[in-house]
Formats: sequence, structure tokens, C-alpha cells
Amino acid sequence: MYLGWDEVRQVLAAIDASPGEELELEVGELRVVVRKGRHGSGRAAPSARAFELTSPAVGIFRRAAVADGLAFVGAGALTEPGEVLAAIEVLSEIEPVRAPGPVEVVSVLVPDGEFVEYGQPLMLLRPR
Amino acid sequence: MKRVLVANRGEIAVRVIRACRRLGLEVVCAYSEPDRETLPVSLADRGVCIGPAPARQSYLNGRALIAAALGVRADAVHPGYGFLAENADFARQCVAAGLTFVGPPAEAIALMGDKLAARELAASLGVPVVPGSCGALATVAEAEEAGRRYGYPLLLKAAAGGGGRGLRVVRAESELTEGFRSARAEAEAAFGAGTLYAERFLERVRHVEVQVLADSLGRVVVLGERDCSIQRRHQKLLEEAPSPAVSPALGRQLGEAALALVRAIHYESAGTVEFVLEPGSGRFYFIEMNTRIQVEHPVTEMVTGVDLVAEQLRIAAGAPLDLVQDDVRITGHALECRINAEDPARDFLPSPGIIAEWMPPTGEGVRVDTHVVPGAVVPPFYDSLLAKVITVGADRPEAIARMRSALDDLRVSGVPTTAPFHRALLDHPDFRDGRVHTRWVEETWRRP
Repeated sequence: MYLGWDEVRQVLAAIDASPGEELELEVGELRVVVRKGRHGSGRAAPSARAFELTSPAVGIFRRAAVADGLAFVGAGALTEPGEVLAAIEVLSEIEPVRAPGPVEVVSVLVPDGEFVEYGQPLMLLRPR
Repeated sequence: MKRVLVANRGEIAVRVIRACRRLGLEVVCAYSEPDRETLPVSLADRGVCIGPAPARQSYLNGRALIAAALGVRADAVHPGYGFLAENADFARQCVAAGLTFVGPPAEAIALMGDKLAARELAASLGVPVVPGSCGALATVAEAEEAGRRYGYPLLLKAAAGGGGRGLRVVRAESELTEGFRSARAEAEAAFGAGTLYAERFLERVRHVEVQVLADSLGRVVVLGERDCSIQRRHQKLLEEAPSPAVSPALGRQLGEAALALVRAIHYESAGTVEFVLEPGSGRFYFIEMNTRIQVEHPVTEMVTGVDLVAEQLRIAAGAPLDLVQDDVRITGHALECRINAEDPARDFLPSPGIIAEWMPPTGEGVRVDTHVVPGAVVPPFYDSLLAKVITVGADRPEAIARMRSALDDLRVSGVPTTAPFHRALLDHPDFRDGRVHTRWVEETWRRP
């Protein structure tokens, strides 16, 4: 089993966004325990918890695709898990980019219509 | 053609980048996530991450590769070898997207990719083929009929085959039912098509292949043969050019056979026509054509002076071949040893890891094609080829002596490699005397 940075980021984002306090994952000989940081009050500033949402595919970044019924999501938007935040157009097919959890969009990092690579940061999100 | 996307990884990506540079072409290297920090990505003008580690989602993901090529405004795609290099659909999709596929037309890939159709075409052109079934075998009963007709051992082969998969040697009729089932299951799993055919299994044969180059104007040159008899489970380990088992007269016959096939399919680009050769009788039989650049292409380059990858690019750009058959001169002898991250003492077990120490050999007549640098990671997802050590000499003994010395100079630690196998092989009288065959490694090799 292989976890790239992108997968790790996605796992951490999902943990961050989940209501649980602890996650224990055991795959073969690998055991990972993640406990949400509660090291004293006020240590984690809200901005420290913001994370990047990366591109699930190589293609053209689409912030809005009216024909596919996607809404335009901008900074400050509050979204539910699985909600479509943007899309990647791969050879004229649309691949949605979904919110990994209940998040707030801090900023959009890529202009509409720009070519993006797989794993490229698209948006800065903050769990809410 | 100005900008080429390299749709591959490892040493062949480095090789393509060098050829592009030589021709003044810009080059973009597609890479999967774990390959971000590799040599080809750092050598290219730009890298594009196309997907995560699994090849199916990256180097085998044609849509991602084409999207990447269009995104970086490349006008051509070089597929290297393996992955999508012999995928006719990918070649077709590249062209449909307005990209030049650096390889033959999709139709030629499709035709030669159907091993049974290729065999039938060769036979129709008078090129000898191994005695065997004329068509697909639908049932075990048909395979039994083939066994009675051509005798045992019988080789069951996948029509969609390649890379040694979907092959079964059946030594007696009693083994046929099981062999047929397992070959078909493997072919279905590997190629999505379970069509099988049968050939008489020839033992003690050599693997000899002919390198060709053909341009879009119909000009074809034959660049001599390579001998790839040192292989293990159909994976080549050492190659040489010319073949020690081929006389000049036999070489001409092989070249004419290859030429007939290449002309018949209106082939373009670099290609290899593979034969098995019975060394005693000098009889040879067509087995298949590979419609791509091959791993072992450098031995041909070293004895002909032709840059095959640059020629592929030039041909793809529509340029005519700048050599004719009379220009081709085979000078000296070249060897290539594949240094794989495999443990020859443990049945060539693939051994991914981190390369701690890496110092490739240098010196007169030594060439090393590699993507390895100290600290490089050998990931478990892809093939285990680390480097190809190539030597050239005035004759075979000199090429062997240079290789022996080069392998002594090679410093590699962190992962076991095939280098000890090659050292022992080069010292073996069977190899020195040219008395090897395609099953020699399995039958004779003992750990170093």
C-alpha cells in the first residue's frame, strides 16, 4: 500500500473535518494513530488548520461549469461534505472536485480555465 | 514539432530527453506522484504530474497523458517502451487530439499486436513461422488436435500476448487441459482477451531480432540483428550485437524477412522483428514484431552509429530517413547488461528500496543509460531496471573484457542487483563460446 502526500493530505483533511477525536488505522504491519491536537488552549490558530485541496486529475481547472450544473464557489463559501467545489476538465469530460468535509473556502488558488497538474493545490479550505 | 511530452519514466525517459535535446526540441516529462524527484523530471524543461503511483492511474492513463500534453502545448508524445507504447487506441487518441504519436501508425500497432494475425501475415509473405495452428484455438479439443499435428512440447500462446504472459509450455497431452485453462485465464487477466493459438515449442533456440527504421515516405533500412538469448522467464538480461550465432549470409536472410514484413504493413518509425533461431541448422522462424523502441536498442546504436531515438523523432516529424541501406555498416561488437534491482541469489526477486551508493562505470567503449542517482528511490510500482551498462569493442572478446571491467567498476549499494549475475555470466565458458540458448539461464544458472 502506498500513500502519497496527496492521500495523506486527504486523510488528514477528512480526520480534521470529522467529529471524532481519534483515528486508529491498521493496515498489515502499519499502525497509525491520529489524535486531534488539543495541546493547551489557543495554540492552534484557525489559519494553521487551513489545508490545501489538491487536483484529483490533470486537466483544465473549472470554477464553474454551468452546463454541468456546478455552482460557482468562492472565498467564504461554506460547504457540506461531498459538495462540488470546482471541476477538472479532462479532454472535455468533467471530473468534479468535492469538499472533503464541512469546510469553509478560504481562497481559490487557481484562475478559472488554467491547466493544472494532478495533486496541484486548487483551494485553501478550513474545516468548520 | 517543437515540444515533446515523454509519456514514460526511468532510463528510457532520460534517453528520450537526450534525443530531444540533440534535435533542439523542448521536452516535458510526465510523471506519477512518487516519481516527482527523479532524474528525468529534473532534466526535462518541465515536468507534469499526471496521477498517483499506480500505473493504471498514471503511465497507463492515456486520457491523463493526452490532457497533460495538450495542457503544456506539446505537439508530440513519445511513449518510450512498455506502458502505452504498443497500445493502438492510445496512438489513435493522440492523433485525434492533434498530437503526433512518436511511433508507427495505430493500424500497424494493432496488426502486430495481434500475434496470431502477425504470424498469418508473415506466413503469407513467405517468412518462416514456427509450425503451429493456423487460427485461434476455441477449445481444448482443438488444442489436442494441434498437439497431435505438431507434436509435443507444444507452446500455447495468447494472440494478444507479449512480455511472456499468456504462454504455457505443454509437454504431453495429459497437461493440455490445465495448460489451456491457465494460459487462457492469464491472457484474459493480462490483455482482456483469452484467444490462444499453438506452436511447436522449439528448445535450444536463440532469440535473434532485427532492428528496422522506416520513414513516412516508404524508405526502410535494416540495422542488423541483436541476440537476446540470455533471458529468464522471457525477460531479457543481456543483449548483444551482432549475434555470435549469425553469419553474414544468415544476417542478410533475416534482414530480408524483416524487410518483407515491414514493407507489407507500411510501417513507420523504429521497429523490431523477432525470430527464434536454431543454431545448428540456421533455420529461423518469425515470432513477433515489436512496434516501439526496445530496451536493448543501444547495442545496435553502438555498432551502427545511428541514434535510433532521434531517428524516431525525426521520422515522426515527417523527415525522410537520412541514410540508405548502403550507408549501414556494422562495426565492432556491443553488449548490454541490464542492471535490475533484483536479487539473483533469491531467484531474481524484485528488490525495491533506496540506492545508497551509486557510481556507474566510465571509460573507453562504455556507455551507461540510467535514471539512477545516489539516494534515488526504486519504488515497488514499476519495473526494476536501474541501468543498462553497454560496452563496445572492436570484436566480441574486447566488448566482453570491457563489460567485465565496467561491472567491476560499478558501485551500487542499498538494493541487490543483477550485477553479480552478469559478472558470473561473462566468465562462463558457455557464454564466452556462444553456446547459450533462451532457456540457458533457467537450466544452467546457479547463484554467484
